[in-house]
Amino acid sequence: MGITNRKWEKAVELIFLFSALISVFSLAAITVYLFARGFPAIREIGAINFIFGMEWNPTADNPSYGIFPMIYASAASTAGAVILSVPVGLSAAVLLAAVAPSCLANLIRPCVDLLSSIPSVVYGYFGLTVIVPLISEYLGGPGNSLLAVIVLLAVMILPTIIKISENSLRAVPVEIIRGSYALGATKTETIFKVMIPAAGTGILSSIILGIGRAVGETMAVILVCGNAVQIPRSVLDMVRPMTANIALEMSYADPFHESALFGTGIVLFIFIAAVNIIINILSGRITGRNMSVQPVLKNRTEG
Amino acid sequence: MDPARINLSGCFNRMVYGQNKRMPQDMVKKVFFGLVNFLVIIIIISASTATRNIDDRDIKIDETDPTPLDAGSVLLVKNSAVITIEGSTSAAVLFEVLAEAFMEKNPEIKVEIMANGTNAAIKAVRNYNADFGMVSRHLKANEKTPGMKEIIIAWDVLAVVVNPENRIGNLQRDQISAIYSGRITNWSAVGGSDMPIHVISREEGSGTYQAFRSLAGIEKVTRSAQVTDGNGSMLEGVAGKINSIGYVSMGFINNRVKVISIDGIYPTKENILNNLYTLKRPFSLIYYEQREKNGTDEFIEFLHSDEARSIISKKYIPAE
Repeated sequence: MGITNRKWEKAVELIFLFSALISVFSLAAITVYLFARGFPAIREIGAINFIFGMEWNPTADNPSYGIFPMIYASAASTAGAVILSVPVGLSAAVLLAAVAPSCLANLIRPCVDLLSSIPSVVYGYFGLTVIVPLISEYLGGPGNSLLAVIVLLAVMILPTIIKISENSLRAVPVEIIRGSYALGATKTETIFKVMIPAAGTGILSSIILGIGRAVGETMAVILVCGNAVQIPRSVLDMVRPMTANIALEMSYADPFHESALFGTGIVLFIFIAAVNIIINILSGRITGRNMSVQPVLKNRTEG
Repeated sequence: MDPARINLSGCFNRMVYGQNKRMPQDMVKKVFFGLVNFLVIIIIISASTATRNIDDRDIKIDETDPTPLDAGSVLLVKNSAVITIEGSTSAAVLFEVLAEAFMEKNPEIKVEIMANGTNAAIKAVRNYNADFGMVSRHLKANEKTPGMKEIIIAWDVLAVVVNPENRIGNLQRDQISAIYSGRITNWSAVGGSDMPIHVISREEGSGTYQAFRSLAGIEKVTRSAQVTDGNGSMLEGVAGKINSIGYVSMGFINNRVKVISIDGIYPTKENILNNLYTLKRPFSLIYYEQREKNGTDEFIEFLHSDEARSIISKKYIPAE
């Protein structure tokens, strides 16, 4: 019996290992394929010309392959969406985790869940038929614009930010919160000075995931961004983020054009990796600060 | 709880973990059944692909067999005949209707159409991934390879469209070119009301884009043009914005947009056949002379029939 038992343990462990390796291999395969397909074009065009070029005319007689306006568009739309979404999402998370009575929280939580399960093409169509005309009517311009992308992406990443922030706020040890009350802090002070700093890592990871979704979103963005390859002078100008470029032109591309689109994918890949690394470094710093918060609280309660 | 189930799960646990349970029952069950499910799915998938491969091989052997086939095997080949067509999204609208009529007459032949663009069609035909390619422009010299045939089936007309509320009804050809190049940016410059022109174009590489650019004599479409990814979203854009201008294949026109005349000439049938209206492009079929004859001859023959011509002429101009 004992031997069978150990064999089973081993087998189950191997199955787990195998499952974990599937994701590693998938990542490796995608990365290798992406670079193998995209690198030839980048080398031929020149990395500097490709990344900082301002003109994108792959089918012109004198083709040019510059994707800087698209990098700019991806960065601007993501940054805008995060700036809009984080304060709203965080406030909602605080409400759900600490303020709302459970009946209200139980009403809001399913709505947030439902919001995250709407397919992105539905978001896109909503954006095209509601947000775009509204922008065009009240703010002017064509309506298909950077602003439309920002608003749409902000709504799309809201559930991610709310869910993960709420969970990390709930995970703050109750001793710390009680300690704060015991020191005479009000509820608001406790939320802003104790709970949010203590849940900092979790909140940051919610922002990272939100950024990931915003940068990678394609279908909804294509429908509302207008797809013009230009550096927007205002939020009312049309833009084309990198994902939209790939999806829009892939089906018609000749081999070299296709390789340039894979090159866009490489830049996107590096872009997301860089954002993740930067935020991870930042989050490391904030965790460091957390460590110093806790002893202070402890000392005071002891004193 | 029914006793049989308790017994079963107890037995299962003993089998897996011996007498001392170390994992909660539920989790063991979930993991185990999950894995079983996974394996079953994999087996089913691999089994079905395996059978499909065998089927393919059988048919190929039949087709390449130089000896005359008896009636039975001819029937077998005919029943499984599939024509694959890939290519231009604009042309696909027409070819889908044609294919339906063709399949009604020839129920033993199945036509599969994939709308994925003109360039994809050339790629697919060259790689023998498709029997036919639908192409919505004239092939460039370097795209033709020896043995590739190109037959024009229909003429498609590109209509320049504006919002119905726009009072513009006619534009000169060079005004259109200037608008699309970004040299004219306000409707007042071409006799309209004072509002900025919202230019809508198509994505690089689309057949409609390339045809329009060369037919209207536009060197480079302005950078601030909106780019849409299909005839449908083009119409949506023009219908939704009062100051916009766009171009679509005639087959897509609906009453939410207004077709304008160019140099005073409307895209009517007579004007197109007289070559007065010049924004037209061919819808052609490309294929290799040497190909699998699984119903492709019948399809080509059908495309030249009167029935096909009457279908084509509903929205397009049949080629002479």
